[in-house]
Amino acid sequence: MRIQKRRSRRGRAFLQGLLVLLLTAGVSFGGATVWQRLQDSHKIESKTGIVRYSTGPSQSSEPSAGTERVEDVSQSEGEESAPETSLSFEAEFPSVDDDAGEEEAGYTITGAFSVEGQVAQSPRVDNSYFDDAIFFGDSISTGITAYNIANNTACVAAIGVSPNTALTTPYIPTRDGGKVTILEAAKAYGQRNKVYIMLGGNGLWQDKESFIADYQKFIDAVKEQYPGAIIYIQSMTPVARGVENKYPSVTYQKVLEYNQAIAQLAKDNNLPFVNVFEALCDEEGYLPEGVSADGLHLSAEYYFKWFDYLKSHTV
Amino acid sequence: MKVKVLSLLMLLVFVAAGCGGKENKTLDVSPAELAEDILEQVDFEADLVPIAPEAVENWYFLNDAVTEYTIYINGDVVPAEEIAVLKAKSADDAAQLEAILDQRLDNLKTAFENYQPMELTKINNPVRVTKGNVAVLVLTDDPDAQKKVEDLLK
Repeated sequence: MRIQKRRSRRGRAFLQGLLVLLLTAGVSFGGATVWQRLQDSHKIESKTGIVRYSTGPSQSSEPSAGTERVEDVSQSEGEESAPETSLSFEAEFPSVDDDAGEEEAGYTITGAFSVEGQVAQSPRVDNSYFDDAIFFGDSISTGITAYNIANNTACVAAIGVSPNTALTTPYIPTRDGGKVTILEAAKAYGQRNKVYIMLGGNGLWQDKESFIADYQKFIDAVKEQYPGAIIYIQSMTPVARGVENKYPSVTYQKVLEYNQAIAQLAKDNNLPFVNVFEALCDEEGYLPEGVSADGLHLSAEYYFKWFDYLKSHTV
Repeated sequence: MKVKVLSLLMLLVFVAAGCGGKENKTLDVSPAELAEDILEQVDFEADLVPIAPEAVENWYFLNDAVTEYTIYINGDVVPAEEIAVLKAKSADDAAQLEAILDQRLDNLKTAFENYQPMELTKINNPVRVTKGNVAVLVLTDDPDAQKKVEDLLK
């Protein structure tokens, strides 16, 4: 009997406790939700100034001083239409499209690294020369697009492309998750009247004969895909002192040696050889200190030198 | 025993009240400004540059779910540092934003595994933050980057 009473008391106490806990939980939940909403509304003017919660359409920000807003098509407030892609892009570097100062070359040539038969200096063309051009290359050429060096031209380039893989390895990702070779990807740009090729840096592990044989195959395929086009063969770009520490197969001596072989290859094919190397190297044939983070790839400034050189070395 | 269970339940209610539901909110974030803040607060070795809109397909396959974006890459290729801030109209499209970032990471892995395998460390350990209708990807060696980006989106 006593035990039953005790159990009954315990049951009541348990129910009371449960009720209190549920009430506490309800109050906590409500309180936390209200607190969270208050926090959210305060964040409208948060210290960073970048996070704003709003139910209205997004507002585009003004370009910051010293930058150029290239395109901004964000929806204005109150408009009811399908959302358009708002492109937040701010260019902070000069564009080659700006032809002011076209007369001054941005490079100096000592002549010490000139190659017999290379394209001689010619009257400078403007940027529209590249309207109907396409560039093929490896990671170095990807900078043409990344740095927006010539947005009027086409560039199909990828990390790792080499003379021995350019025709067979699918480097270029496609929207459907696949990959295609650089020549397949280039078909999207249609016929081109000028083709610029720069390959080599990833193939320096090969012996020179097989390197050149593979390069020849790529040239043949380009000739077939672009009948009648001017096909410029570009030299490899110079490398910095100590580059072999990061890229063991890439040495100063090999770059010089293989560039000579590429020049000869161009000559054998009766194609113009553009010796970009001489516009980018120092007096000893190296990429100057501070130009490249890894000794191989170029900073933006050197892409402008490269294109300055191309503009004044045409056929 | 029952009291302990109830205490645990109560704790769960507290947690749910404090954290639940927020992720589905639509954030009025400017990708350009957020990317600038990331650039400022996270440590990068390279001088990252913004991708021109007409060239973005060389790096990212955006789709109609993306209403606004800002992407910075390293034009020098190495180190493989990068910032991508994608914004959708609503949090319902967040999965699509994440799929775009997943595809980019897959492509980077393929590109670097036979080229500069050391870069895979940051590619395999990306900073990923998705909140509401905004998805962020940052590639950096900065060990505090994840927290910095999360704090920026608080």
